Amino acid sequence: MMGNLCIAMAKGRLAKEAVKLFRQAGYNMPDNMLKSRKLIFEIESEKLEIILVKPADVPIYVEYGTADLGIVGKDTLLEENRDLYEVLDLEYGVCEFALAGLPDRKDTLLERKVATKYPDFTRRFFRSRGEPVEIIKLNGSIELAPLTGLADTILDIVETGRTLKENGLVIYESIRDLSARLVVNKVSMKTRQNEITAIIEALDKVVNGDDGNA
Amino acid sequence: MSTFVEGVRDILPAELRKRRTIYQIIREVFESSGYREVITPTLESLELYAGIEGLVDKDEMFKVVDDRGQILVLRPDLTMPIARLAASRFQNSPRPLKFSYLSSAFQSKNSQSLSLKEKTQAGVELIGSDNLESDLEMILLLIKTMEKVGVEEPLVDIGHADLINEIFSDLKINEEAKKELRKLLAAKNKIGIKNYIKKIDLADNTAEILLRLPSLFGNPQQVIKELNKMPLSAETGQVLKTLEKLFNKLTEFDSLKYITFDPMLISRHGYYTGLIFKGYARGYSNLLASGGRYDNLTEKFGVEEAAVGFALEIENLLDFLNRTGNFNEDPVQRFLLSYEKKEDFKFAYLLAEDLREAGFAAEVYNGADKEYIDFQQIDFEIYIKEKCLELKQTGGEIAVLKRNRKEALEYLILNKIEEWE
Repeated sequence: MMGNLCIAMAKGRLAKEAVKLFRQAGYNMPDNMLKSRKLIFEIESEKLEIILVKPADVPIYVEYGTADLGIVGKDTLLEENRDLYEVLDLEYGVCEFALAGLPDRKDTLLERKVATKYPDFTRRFFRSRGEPVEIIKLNGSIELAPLTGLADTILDIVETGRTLKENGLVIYESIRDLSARLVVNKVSMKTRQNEITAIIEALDKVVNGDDGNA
Repeated sequence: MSTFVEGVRDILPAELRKRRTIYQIIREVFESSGYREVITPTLESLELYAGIEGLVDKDEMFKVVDDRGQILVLRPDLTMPIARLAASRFQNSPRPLKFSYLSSAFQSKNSQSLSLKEKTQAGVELIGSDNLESDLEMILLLIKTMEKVGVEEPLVDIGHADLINEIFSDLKINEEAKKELRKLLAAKNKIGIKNYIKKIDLADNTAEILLRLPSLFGNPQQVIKELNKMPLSAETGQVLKTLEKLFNKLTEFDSLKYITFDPMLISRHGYYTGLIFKGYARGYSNLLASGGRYDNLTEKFGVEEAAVGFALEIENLLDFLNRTGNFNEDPVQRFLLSYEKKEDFKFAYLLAEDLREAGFAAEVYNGADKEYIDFQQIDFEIYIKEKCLELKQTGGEIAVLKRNRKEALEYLILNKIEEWE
């Protein structure tokens, strides 16, 4: 029953950084990992299994315990709002949640229309402010929404702001900082404490140096 | 028309056979410890559940309106109905009250337990007893139950509802910050805590303690030792002493090896007042049981009473046992009898009755093919011929027996079946 510890990583850029991080922490990661089309990697020497899944699925795999640990952006964690332990800020993939739109936004007569890939977070955000909005869920190219008149505001992740700028949009408001996080299944944390703590500590050391606990 | 309802399911014979075994074991363990089973109604009044913070969200309950316009709910949990019983019908009965239950609970949203809206829970409640021994008894009973149903390495994670409150009052943290920090501590979110305490005014050692808490869990004695090193008040020390006593008792029973301690174990069920615990199996990442002390649950009915209990999550337990293959399978062997000659139906029928009498399951049917035999989970086939009986284990060899009911039965009971097992 006690197989290798399973780590779910968000496919793409975050996985690349995660693999780098694990290597820096002294873990032996296969060379072909990111070029291959394989989705599961058994790393016997490290007693690890790594699965590559869509970012939004990482919290799901971890909550259900299919994966014991996961590496995923805080944006996804906020949107999915799952019951997990969030144990480490990996300090890469740094960006922010921001509201943006055309420079000369007029107050709308009706409810403000907000386009986003993060409808759940957006709903909670505006509800906490007591502002009624109409949320439009999009799956990509959010910047198009204000340009085409679909929405007057977007809530999206902003890294350098270049995409916004190139599309003639401006940031109205920064909401919060984001970065990649290490999350742990709540039961695994207890049932496999030693193995998991070893990973947390090794990664913590790389990210925060030796005084990570201070 | 779609007649399919999401989140509920049919339990079919193959699964039920396994469930029954588990049910039987659980019932035996509970009853033999003096916890007699009760069945409370599926429908309860909304009033019963309203106003109990943290128990079940109002919008997570299934509501039904009866013919007089009264709002009822499909019971979202099984502890409240028993608290109701204790405070009403059994108000004047001798204490402690011991009850067990095995029923389903209904919740419209449920992130655990495979998203089922109807889940089966088996549990015990001990009402009117507030000593250390009753806490101990609950934990030992949970370990025993898990072991008996086939959890080879049970784990019980223990916490205490007062601990976080005492630590907060030691650290002089205001109400708003408490709420936020409680969430962050429950998620062991060190980063969140680090960021949050930057925003509020705290003494230096307070920040240090708060940042230490998320990684403080595991080996009970070690965690207590670490906590004792912190500058905490006498009240907090008192809670720790109680827990330490419990851990010492568990050591006496050679059970501390099953125990982990998490000072920040915070239950979804806000009604817990003292001990909180959760049951796990090593290597399985879902919750198998949860329980604790809820000394103010009956307060709602005008009587305040100490109570402690736990509930096993049957669906998770089944899922776990199915993965490990460690089922204490229902031992009843299933026979299918068929006959060559029409007039042998009577012989077949009587032999089937003999087998049933001897504790086997038997059916007489002449048209069975392989698919039917698989579907009915037949273990043995008996073919009645003119001169002899052919006994065949599904997927196995054929043995030829004399055509004599008494002898055949003796043979089946004494020899072949045991040998084959």
